[in-house]
Amino acid sequence: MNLDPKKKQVIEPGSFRDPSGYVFTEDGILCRQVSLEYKEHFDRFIGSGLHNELVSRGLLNPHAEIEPGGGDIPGTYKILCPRIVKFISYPYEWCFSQLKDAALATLEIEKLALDYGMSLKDSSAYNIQFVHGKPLLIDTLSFQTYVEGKPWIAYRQFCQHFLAPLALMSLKDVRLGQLLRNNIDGIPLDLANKLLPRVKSYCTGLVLHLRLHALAQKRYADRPVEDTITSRAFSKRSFYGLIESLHDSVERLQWKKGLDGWGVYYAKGEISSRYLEDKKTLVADYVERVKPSNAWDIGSNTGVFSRIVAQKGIPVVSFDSDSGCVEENYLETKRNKETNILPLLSDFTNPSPALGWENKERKSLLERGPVDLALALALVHHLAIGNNLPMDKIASFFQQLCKWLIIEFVPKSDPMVKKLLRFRADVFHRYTPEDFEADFSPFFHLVQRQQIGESGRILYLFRSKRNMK
Amino acid sequence: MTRRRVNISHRLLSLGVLLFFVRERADAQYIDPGTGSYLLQLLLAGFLSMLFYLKRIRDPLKAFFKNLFSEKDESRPEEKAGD
Repeated sequence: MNLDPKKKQVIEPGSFRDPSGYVFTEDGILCRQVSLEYKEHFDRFIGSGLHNELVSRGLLNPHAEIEPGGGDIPGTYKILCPRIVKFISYPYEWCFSQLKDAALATLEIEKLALDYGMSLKDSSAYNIQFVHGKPLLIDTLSFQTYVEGKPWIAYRQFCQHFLAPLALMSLKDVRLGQLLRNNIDGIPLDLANKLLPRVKSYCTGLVLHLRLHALAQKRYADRPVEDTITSRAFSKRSFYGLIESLHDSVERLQWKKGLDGWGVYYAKGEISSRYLEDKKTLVADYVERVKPSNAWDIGSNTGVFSRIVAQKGIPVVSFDSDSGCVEENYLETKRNKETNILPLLSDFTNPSPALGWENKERKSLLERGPVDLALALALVHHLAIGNNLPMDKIASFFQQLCKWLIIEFVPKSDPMVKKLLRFRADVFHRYTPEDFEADFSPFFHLVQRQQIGESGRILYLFRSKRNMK
Repeated sequence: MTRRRVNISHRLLSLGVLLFFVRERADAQYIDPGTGSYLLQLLLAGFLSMLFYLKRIRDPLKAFFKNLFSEKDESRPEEKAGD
């Protein structure tokens, strides 16, 4: 395969930090440029067998090499064509166990790299993506030749991107994982230490890698360094010891089991099993009718309906704003070895924004759409009543998001809506099925509507009036 | 006079550290390792090396005793059956 020199390369806005290469698209094909200055490391990475080992273990995204075109920037050594990752997710959208699995995968990769005489030169959590339910390194240029005697360059980054957020999520509050959204290069260790509980029985690893680490950062921030320290060597055994110590520290951190909030929605029997079965049948019928190539399940709870779609071979991103639900959903995908579901944490009343330099390094959630089919089941009352969102704004939002929409209308007579209105004035006079349909009609064609058993709830199938790419 | 010497020696040391990191940047390294993070690893080198050896002794011992006790547990029902 060759690249056409006449065609223009569009460089990915987030691909500029590492001079070893950059990611670009050309004529819709995703490519990675390898620069000449990285040649020695890249050749060693391929020649040593490390690349093949990582790919065969399912730890690295595979690539094909393609011939560089005449239009390549001078200094290009090779052009790689990596396997496409269908949906890019970010660490602040992961649940505890996803972040933990990504951390353990990074350490496994580093250990293997050391075995082959190489080392990771960065350990950014953004270099990991979940593909077919497993964490995978997507940055092929993350490796450099190991230099005997030198410590791990990416140690600080690993502690900030993985260990600090995991410790905070496990030992303090799982919601502190959201600090990653504000701190694009990981949680500063001094901040993590201020937030971590003092009296808890820490393992030695956390004392070393978080407490002492933060103290060392503070001590040497503006002080001269003694020669006796800089002249010390860091043996390969010490390097392995460091990786194993980090591994043990991560491994010991546990998700505080116990679903609360929406996680017990099905278990507590707040909804009848008859209603649930009727809805499952109806959703399956609608999905069969649409035959989408991909889907987003918004407000998916523990992923009951995402699984109905996924079982038809359709990849589903399964969003919920409750971290307990996302955790349970992810653990379920692991237990069942499901490859078509990606559970993610997202509150659609405040979806992930674009972040980083020029607001272009990390894409907003909407920029990562649109999707063929969106499911919004038992969600509309939370948006319209719980968050005071006008129905036409909800319809317009969904039109940006999807081509097909399966949406459930929950009437005011429903116990869940009554709960929402129990202590507040009912100012939602247009919250009726008729007004709902009227507000959606400028944006969507109504394809099918069906009452779900005796529940009084209605399941709609809409098709967007906007032409999608 | 002594203070001045101390200042000069501090400056020289800082320059040494700076040159040390500048030299490192000749390879594929592009992120800032962080002075404190880099030095902490050097300070902990001996301890981490010890951890490496301890783990290699601890893990086989753990496995040995685990196997030993699990074999004993398995053998108990047979003994009873023999009675």
